[in-house]
Amino acid sequence: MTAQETVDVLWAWSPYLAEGFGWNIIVSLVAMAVGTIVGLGLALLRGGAHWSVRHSGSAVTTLARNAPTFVMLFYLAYIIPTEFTLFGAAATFPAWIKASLALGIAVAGYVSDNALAAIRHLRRHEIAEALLFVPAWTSYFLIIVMASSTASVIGVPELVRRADTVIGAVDKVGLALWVYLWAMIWFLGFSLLLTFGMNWLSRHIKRRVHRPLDEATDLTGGPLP
Amino acid sequence: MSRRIPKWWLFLAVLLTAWAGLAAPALADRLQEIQDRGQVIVGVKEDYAPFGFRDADGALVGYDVDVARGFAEAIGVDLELVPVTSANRLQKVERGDIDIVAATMGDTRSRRELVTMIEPQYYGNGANVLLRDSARIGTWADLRGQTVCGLQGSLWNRLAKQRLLLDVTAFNSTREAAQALRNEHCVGWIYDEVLLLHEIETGDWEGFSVSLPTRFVLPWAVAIAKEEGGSQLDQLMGDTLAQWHRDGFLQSLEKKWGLPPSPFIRDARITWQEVDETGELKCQRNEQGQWPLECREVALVTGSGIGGLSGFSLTIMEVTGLDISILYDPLDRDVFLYGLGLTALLSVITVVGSIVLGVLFGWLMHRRVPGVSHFLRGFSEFMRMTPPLLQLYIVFFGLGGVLLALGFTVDAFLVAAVVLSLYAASSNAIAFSLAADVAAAGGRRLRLTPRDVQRGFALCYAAVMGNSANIVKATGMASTLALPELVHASTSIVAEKGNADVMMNLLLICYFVLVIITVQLFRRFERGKAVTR
Repeated sequence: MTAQETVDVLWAWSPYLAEGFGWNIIVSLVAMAVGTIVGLGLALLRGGAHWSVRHSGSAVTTLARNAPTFVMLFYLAYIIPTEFTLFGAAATFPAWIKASLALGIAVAGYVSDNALAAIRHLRRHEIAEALLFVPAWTSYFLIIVMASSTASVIGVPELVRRADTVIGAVDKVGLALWVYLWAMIWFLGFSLLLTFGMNWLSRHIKRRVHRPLDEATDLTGGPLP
Repeated sequence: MSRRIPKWWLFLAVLLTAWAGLAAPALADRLQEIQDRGQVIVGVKEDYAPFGFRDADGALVGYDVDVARGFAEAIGVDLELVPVTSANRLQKVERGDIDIVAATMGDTRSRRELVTMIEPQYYGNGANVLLRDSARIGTWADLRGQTVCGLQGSLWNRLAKQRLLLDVTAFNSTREAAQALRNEHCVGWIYDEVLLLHEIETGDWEGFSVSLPTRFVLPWAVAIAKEEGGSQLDQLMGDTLAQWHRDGFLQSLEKKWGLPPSPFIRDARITWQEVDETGELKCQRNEQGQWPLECREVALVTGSGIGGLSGFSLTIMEVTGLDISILYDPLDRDVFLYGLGLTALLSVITVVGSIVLGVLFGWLMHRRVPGVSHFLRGFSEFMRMTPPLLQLYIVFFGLGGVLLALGFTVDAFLVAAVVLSLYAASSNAIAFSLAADVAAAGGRRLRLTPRDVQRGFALCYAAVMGNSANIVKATGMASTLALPELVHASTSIVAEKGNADVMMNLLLICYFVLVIITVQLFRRFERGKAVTR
């Protein structure tokens, strides 16, 4: 395969791959939404009045923090039926929602940890410090977008899955490497854009923080949760 | 001094002998009745070629009919054939209208409630997929989420959905399913493996093949009335079938009726021919007249009458419905334990590898070595800004494909270990370089001495611990390279046994334990070494 042919193939399939990347974003956003709501709830519990409330908040957070998302994908895919009847009506539970839930568990753990600090700041009316939660949240969003590619293993038609489909459909020796690299560039481009925006935002916030920060918020991403 | 045998022990032995004596020669009447009659009545299908169907003269022939004839010869009587259907075959044998049923009947636990299935089973059939070659499907996992065509009412559709996570579109007839496959409505057609192989042989399927391993193998059994279980008829027929597996009679029948060689019969032949060190056959009846457990289709055996862990776990299944197959099925147990071992090994290698590489890379970044530091920083950021799954694919399938063209094969375990180590090392490197910068603030830069490394390491200990826990969780991704680690082992057991509830919970528990062990080891090391943050 010549370089020109390879470029042509990648170009021709790019709209199809772009749609797949759309799925990555959707799965990630839903995971962030679900995880953030649950995580905030957990953080509120952990700051609660009674010790039993605080303990249950901590226990659930520990579980969510230690849940292996890749394994959770399979767990939910097998345990939750895809089709079921709800009040007599047939309902479906598509794979992408299962993927979002699996990733959302990790998000809940992370948000619970970071929101706790943010809530303390808010109570002290330290708005700017509390706002540092936003770049931390965004950096986690980046990790989740990377992790969303694992949704391919339970059949969600996201970018990596579609890259496989393209490789199968075109069926040329040596193409696999280029298609995967092309898919990687999509992720990389998205990450760079997001990181750029995030850094700008966090500089903006830090400029407004006059007091030295007493609690450093983790701005570096770790490996897949 | 000779050891005395306690009295109660002798008493027990007498009781057991008496019980065995009562059990063994039980119920000779049906066999006697057949011999008195001079004729054995066998129910077979008449509409299922090539197992039971009518030839041009209207006579019942087929694989099952030959099996029936073999039994008549073994008993030493004439054969009378009675056509049966899937709907009435169990009732007919229950009512005593027929002595034996040999009618393409799958051996299942629920049918065992109604009739006695003769062991060993005489045939086995499973599901497979007729695949378009250009779809490049190499494993069942590749089919997850893809649409396959199926036939309405087929047992396989539900199994494929629940156990393999496939999307099945069911059609009314084989013709429609075949046409849908040709029109690219689906990547494959899931159906009885025997019939698909039959389709291939017609020569109409250029560019298609049946290449995946058989799934959901359901053994077919010959059955007699429920109350005949353990009778002389049961024993005679079981012995005859065992002999047929050993001498290849069933394989010759396959050939005679144009059936493709079934893996079930091939494997059964190996099992029943196996001998121990003394040259004795391994599969021989014990004193109670039962075959040893390792020769039986263990998932179909009931818990009562079997001792040990196998019996216990089978009883659990009967009572609660929880199918803990790794406790009674030695094959599942081996697959699962091997997977657990591989996951543990991969975890240890990636954690150690990611720390060693992370410290090295982080130190090089900290030293601001011209060129090298920039490259490593860029590389670490790159690893963190791309999905690890894609990194695995690029190395294994992308580079691996290129290397394969040059004559080299890449090892899946090696790829997983290296890629996952590098992935976690990137996060560790950034954490270590930041920590080293802090440790060296105002003073000299850190050197690669144990003392200096410890100073830097102490400052990023929490981050490294978190990264290590996360990389242990991520080892499951190696399953996408068909590495038989824990996730792969669990999903393949679910595919065969359908015990998703049990296996998925076990899998999750194993991973929780692995993560907890990792974190605890870090904590212990922290205390032992007095590493302080």
